[in-house]
Parts: sequence; structure tokens; C-alpha cells
Amino acid sequence: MPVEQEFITLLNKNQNIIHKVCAIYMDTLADKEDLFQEVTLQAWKSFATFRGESQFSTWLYRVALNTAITFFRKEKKQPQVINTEVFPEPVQQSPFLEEQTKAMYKAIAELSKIDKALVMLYIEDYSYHDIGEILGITPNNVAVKMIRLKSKLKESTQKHYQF
Amino acid sequence: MELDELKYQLNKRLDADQPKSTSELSLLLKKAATSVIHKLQRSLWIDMAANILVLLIFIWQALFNKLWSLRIYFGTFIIFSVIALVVLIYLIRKIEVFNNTVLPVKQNLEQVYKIINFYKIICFRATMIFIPLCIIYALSLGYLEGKSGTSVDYSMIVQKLGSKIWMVVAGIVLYLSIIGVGGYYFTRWFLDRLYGQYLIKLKSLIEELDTE
Repeated sequence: MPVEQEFITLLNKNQNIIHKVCAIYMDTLADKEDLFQEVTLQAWKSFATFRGESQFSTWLYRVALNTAITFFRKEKKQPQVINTEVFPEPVQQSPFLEEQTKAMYKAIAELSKIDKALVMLYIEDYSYHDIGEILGITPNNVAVKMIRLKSKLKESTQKHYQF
Repeated sequence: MELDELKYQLNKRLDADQPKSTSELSLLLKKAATSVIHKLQRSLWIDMAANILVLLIFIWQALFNKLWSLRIYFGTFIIFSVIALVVLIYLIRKIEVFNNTVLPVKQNLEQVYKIINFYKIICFRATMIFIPLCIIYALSLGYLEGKSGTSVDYSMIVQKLGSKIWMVVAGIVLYLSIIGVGGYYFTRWFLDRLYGQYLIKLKSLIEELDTE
């Protein structure tokens, strides 16, 4: 199979990873599209070095997070408004749960780029050891950050849920 | 509500985006990357092309200019141009290697920071050294060429000026100061505008990863 075809096949199977990263890091559809393109290109450029030592999905997570974290848009002059219209369609669930998820989503949107990466990997069920390897920090550091992050999210979600 | 309780819902929600077809994905591979590091790489290639062109002009001038002062001047700058070329090749190679490697997030941020900061420092120092160097070197060689009688004799001009010479010297000093100070602030402002904010953000992300 030609390399490009092999890459497209793998990417096609795992593209939800890039969609997730774009959804969590960007707040407009145009920005999401730009980031999707950038991650795809970066993955393609470094695909030659993918030796299959780790799973393609883990490798793609690294590429996607590296690209998203170093991807900066010019500062907008108007204050940042969290645009809920660009949130992915909700899954069918009770209105109460839906509101809670929305509030949590808003809280995540306010996090720093590093915290967003932590949340992203955490909800994907990566262990602290794996998260540490992807981020380049110790599992201990991940654990400390996660404790702080969870309480920060809890507070922030409550704030968004009240208003 | 805690993150753990909404883990499943969040994951599903984030998973719900419209997937792209394989043809759409193939098309994306043909587009140009827009990240800062790719833009820097493109501008380095342009710098390299310009540098080669300038080098050829310098070689031509060093070999065939009628004035020996200009032959020396351009001959000297061939060396600087070759050094610049080596630095550009080093940076392009470094970015190339970086682009083909997938590092952990922290090391990736550190690498991007190092590459851009190195480029910024090199640009700034080169501008600061070359502006006064070019002017003083050109004036000195011009003066010596004039004394040797193959060009305008500046020592004659100096003699004719007599006591007004201090005004000329003051003019040159003023000119050099304006070029020097102006060049310093302009280069700093320009490089900061291009990469300053980006470097600050990268540094704060690295620090955030480091803090426990």
C-alpha cells in the first residue's frame, strides 16, 4: 500500500481524535477547520518517523496536542465569548444532564491550553503514566495537576450552571 | 457536578463532529501549513535565496570592481555572507528535523522556543553589528582609497574644510547615532512584533507544565 494511502486509511479511522482536539481548543468553526488542516499536515510530515512502537491513536494525540498548543490565533480585541453554537451536537440525554454537560463544557473552554490537554487525555481514560509521557512530565506532576484541575472545574461548572 | 461524572457525556459530545471523507483528507495533504515554525521555515528559504543572490553579486564586485576599496569591501562581506548561509542551513536543517519528530508536549514547546529565540537573537545581533560595521568600514576604505589617489581624496576635503571639520565629524556621529539607536529600537520592535508575543506564550506554557 502506498505510504499516502496507508496514512489516509489510518487517519480516517482515527480522525475523531483531531475533531476532539479541535473542538476543545477552538471556538469558531473556521478556527476548527484551520487547526484540523494544520494537525493533518503535521501528522503527514512526521508520519515517516512513526514506527508503530506506540498505537497510532496515541501518536496522533501527541501530534494533535503539540500542534494545538503551539497554534495561536491573533488576539481578538473584543472579549472572548464562549460560542455554544459550535459545540458538537449533544448526545441524547436528560435535560438536567445536558445542562450540566454544557456548563462543564463552558468551564473547560476557559481552561489554559495545558489544562485542556490534561482534560482531553483524562476523559480518554489514559493513565497518569501515559498522560505524563504524552505531555513530557512526571506521573506525579500529572496527579497533582489533576487534583487541582478537578476542583477548579467543579467550581467553574457550578458558576456556569447557576447563570 | 464533577469531571468524572461527566466523563462519558463529554467524550461523546466531543466525538460528535462531522467526519471528513478520505478524499477530503487527501486534499488537506496538498495544502500549506500555517504554523509559526512553518512560516519561519518559509522565510528562511527566502532569506537563503536572497543570500545566495547577494553572495553572487559580492563575488562579481570583489573580482571586477575598478576600485580596490570596493573589491576589499565586497570581498570581506563574502565571508559574512557565507557565515550567514551556514547559519541559515543550520536553522533550516534544525526545523526540518524538528518537523519530522513527534516529541512529548513539553520538549516540543522547548524546541519551538529554542529555534525561534535563536533566530530572533541572531537577527538582532547581526543587525546591531552590521549597521555600524558597514558604515565605518565603507568610510575607512573610502578614505584610504582617496589617499592612494585612485578616487576622491578625502584628506584634501578635510584640509579644505579647515576649522569646519568638527561640523562634518559631528554630522557623521549624529548620523551614526540615529542609525544606531533607530536601528536598535526598530529591530527590537520588529522582532518583538513578529515573535515576541509568541515566545512569551510559549515560555508561560513551559512554566505551567513545570509547576506542580
